[in-house]
Amino acid sequence: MSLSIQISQQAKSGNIQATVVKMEGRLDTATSPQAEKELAPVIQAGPKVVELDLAGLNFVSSAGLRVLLGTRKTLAAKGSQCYMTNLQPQIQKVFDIVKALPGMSVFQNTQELDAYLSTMQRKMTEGK
Amino acid sequence: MAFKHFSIRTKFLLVFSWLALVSIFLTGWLSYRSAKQALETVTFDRMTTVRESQKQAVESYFHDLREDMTILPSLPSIVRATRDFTDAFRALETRKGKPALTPAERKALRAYYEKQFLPKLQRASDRLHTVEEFWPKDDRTQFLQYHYIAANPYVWQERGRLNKASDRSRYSAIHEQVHPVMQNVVRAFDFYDLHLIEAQTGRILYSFQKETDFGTSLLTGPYRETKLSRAFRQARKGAVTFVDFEHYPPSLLMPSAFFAAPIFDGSRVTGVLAVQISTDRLNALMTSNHNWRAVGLGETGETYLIGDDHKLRSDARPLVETPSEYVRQLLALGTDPTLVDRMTVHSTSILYQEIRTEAPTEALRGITGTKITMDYRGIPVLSSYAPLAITDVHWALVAKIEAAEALAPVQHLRETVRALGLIVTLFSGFLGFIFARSFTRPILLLTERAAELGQGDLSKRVPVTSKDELGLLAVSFNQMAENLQRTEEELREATNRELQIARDIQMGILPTDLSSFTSGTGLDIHATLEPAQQVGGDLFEVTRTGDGRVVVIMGDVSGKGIPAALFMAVTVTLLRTKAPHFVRPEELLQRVNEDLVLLNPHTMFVTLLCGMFDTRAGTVSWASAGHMPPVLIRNGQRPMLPFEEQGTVAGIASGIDIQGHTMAFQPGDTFILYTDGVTEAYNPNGDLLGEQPFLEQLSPQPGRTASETTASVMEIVRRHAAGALQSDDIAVIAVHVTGAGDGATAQSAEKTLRLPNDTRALERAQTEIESFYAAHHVSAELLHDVRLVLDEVLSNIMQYGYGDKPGDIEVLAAISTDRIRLVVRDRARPFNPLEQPEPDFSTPPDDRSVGGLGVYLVRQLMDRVEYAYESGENRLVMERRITR
Repeated sequence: MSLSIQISQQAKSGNIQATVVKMEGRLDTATSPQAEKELAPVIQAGPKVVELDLAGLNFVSSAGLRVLLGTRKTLAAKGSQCYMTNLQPQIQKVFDIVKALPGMSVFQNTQELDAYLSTMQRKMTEGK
Repeated sequence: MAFKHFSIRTKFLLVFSWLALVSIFLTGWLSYRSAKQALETVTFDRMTTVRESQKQAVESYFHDLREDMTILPSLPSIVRATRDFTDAFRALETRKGKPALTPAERKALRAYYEKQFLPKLQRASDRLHTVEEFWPKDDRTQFLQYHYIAANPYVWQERGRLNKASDRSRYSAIHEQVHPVMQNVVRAFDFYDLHLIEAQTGRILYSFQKETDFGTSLLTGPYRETKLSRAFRQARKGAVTFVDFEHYPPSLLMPSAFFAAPIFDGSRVTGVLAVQISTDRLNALMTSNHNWRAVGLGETGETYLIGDDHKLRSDARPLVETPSEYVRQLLALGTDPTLVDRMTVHSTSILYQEIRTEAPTEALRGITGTKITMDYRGIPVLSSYAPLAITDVHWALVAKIEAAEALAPVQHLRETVRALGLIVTLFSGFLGFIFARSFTRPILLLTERAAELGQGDLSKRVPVTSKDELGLLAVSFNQMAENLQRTEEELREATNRELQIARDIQMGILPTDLSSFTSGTGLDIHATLEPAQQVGGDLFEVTRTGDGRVVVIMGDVSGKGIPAALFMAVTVTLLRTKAPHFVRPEELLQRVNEDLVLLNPHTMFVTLLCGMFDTRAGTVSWASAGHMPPVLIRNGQRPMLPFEEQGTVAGIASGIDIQGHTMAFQPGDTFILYTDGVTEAYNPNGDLLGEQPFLEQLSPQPGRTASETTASVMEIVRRHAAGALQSDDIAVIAVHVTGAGDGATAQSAEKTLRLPNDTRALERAQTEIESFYAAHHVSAELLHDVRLVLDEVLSNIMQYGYGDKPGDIEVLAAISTDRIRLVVRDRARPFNPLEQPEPDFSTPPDDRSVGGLGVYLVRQLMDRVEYAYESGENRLVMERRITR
């Protein structure tokens, strides 16, 4: 298949439990139904933090965009936070074209996300 | 027809004639009237003069006669004769035993009465007479009448010539003595008759004429009722008496008037002298001895006497002069024929002609005057009349002359004026005509020239022949024509300048350097456009599509001039921008047609012929919008028409049907595209060149190069035209196939694939096309974008177009030196993805609907996206430039 998705649980810095979704291949018209199906349990579980690691995704079409944006929107409604990391340039370009990135938590890589999350954690703790 | 509708010539003629007519008529009438009045006055004066002299003559005649009648009876011879005749008559009485007449003599007398007297009398009488009426009872009377009448050797009215009868009586002896005396008296006084009458018995003792009253008694005899009898009775009382005319039987009822005067023998009246006046004498007086002209009565004038019974007392002039004419007139007037007969018998109008016209009526009333009246013949006459002072009678005298004669000079004047008027009128009419002609000729010439000027001949001038207003008009006209001509020349020059500029711009639009389009294509193309004098609408275009095909277009815009030039510019621009994006020539022409229809308010049209040469495949696709078919010259063969589908002209109607046709060509083939300027070239005789002669003249061995071929075509046209003016643009394109395409065409490539309505097929299609482009060494980014675009476009068709229904999608991927091209066709329901709304970027991405992003992506990624739906097919054409 041209798309593969691996879902795992990871403990992030600051003792944050995150669900990491790794996507590889192409997320397009042909594969988006499959992606939706596989992402459904994640959405169902509603973890606190979801990281969409797109390092292996080399192609996305509007159908794929719909899956990604839809997931994020549903999770946000459940109080979950959804972050995207490791976007390839062509993926970044597609997001840019449709102006879908502003307001979305997108990080260059997993390390950046981790740093961000620990900062957030610290702020929350100190704030308490 | 009203006067204002006549021509000036007619008006002049009418006015001139009318003026002449009126003036002639007026002066003529005035002079006629005054002349007539003057002449009337003169005529009346003359009539009055004549009347007065006649009146005097007549009155003095009667006056003198009366004088004479007082003297005559006192003559001793008369007195003695009376006495002697009285005795002698008595002596006849005393001859006893000797009957006065023998029976034979009495019979002879009777015979006279019966055979001679009575018939003559009867003819002049209205009544039937018998002899007994007049028969003398007295023997002595019979005796005398026998001897002096019946036995008289002389005829009636001549009997006075008998001096002595042969009876040997004493009476006859006395008669012999007295008669010559009496004859002298009668002749001297011009009496008709003379009677000596015994006063006591009324016996006519002596009668000069010996009529039947001779010897009778005026008191007891047959003539006792006559006016003579009355005159006698008056006279024996001692008065000289005149009695008016009467029809006196003894004179055979001839009008007779008598004077009677007493004869005194001492103091005793012994007899009466009665004279019967001669009408001849009276007539001689009245007619001036038939010398009417001498007294100024001319041809028709006369004077007449008339009695109180309105009957004439003198003869009418016409009776004397022209009796038969007079009789005819009288009969024509309805006069009793017997009356007329008697008039002729007695050859007098006295007592016969009755005149009751104004003139005698007034005169008899005692009025003297002049008047224009109708006379008894119904003819207008100028009359002068007066009553007469004659004792014992009541008469009047009238002098008259026919108006026609009296006024003849003025009639003549009238005729002269009339004739003169006619001549003057005709002459002035002629003058008016001549004048009007001299007047209208320049006007007509001006009118003619102005009409010619109006029709555009500005070189016309009129001759200036006079210095009057017409001359000024002619000068003005010439100046106007001069100015018009100059203005028109300037205008024409300006227009020509501008047309030349338009022509230059037009020619500038057409491609000049064709080699840039043909280099390396294996085609040699040459185009020639010979512009006509006027700006025309021929056009051509040679270009190259993105995938390396060569497009050759020939066109001809309808009409000429600036509109055609502008429309041609629009058409060329459209063709140039559209041509590279179409694979099929018919699609190009259809598309151009749609655009032209929108840009064409004046419904001009253009014929177009488009050939798309695919040198890689060795094919050419043709499509024509009403244009002349292309000619193919295949080495050594007759020129042929490989594509004759002509289609519909472009620019008028939307959705025209244009059929395309693809054919193979070989190296060495030459295609000729041309406009109708070639086949519709005229020669000096006005004959068209025509398609068939053109084809026949084309050499089967065309030139080695395209330019040689166009030159040969132009030569054919020149030969035919033979110097005739070129009326239309002539455009020729020759496409010479030199060989197969070289590297340049190899750089173009395309790939077509077909996939079903199934998302699972997407992947394969994307991959195949990706690898097609990858083989042409395009960038990874372009490959990604192509994949993305295909994903979006194809999924759209499957999702919104076909839905669940089965269907095919055809994808053509092409690449040329500078661009890639994707053409996606499907036969799903019409769906234009470009019409989808753009995504709303004003809301945050999370809230935004995710629809519409795909199309937006496609538009962003491709340089050109066009959608068309035609003949049940959705067609999306996308292009992206390659930057190497």
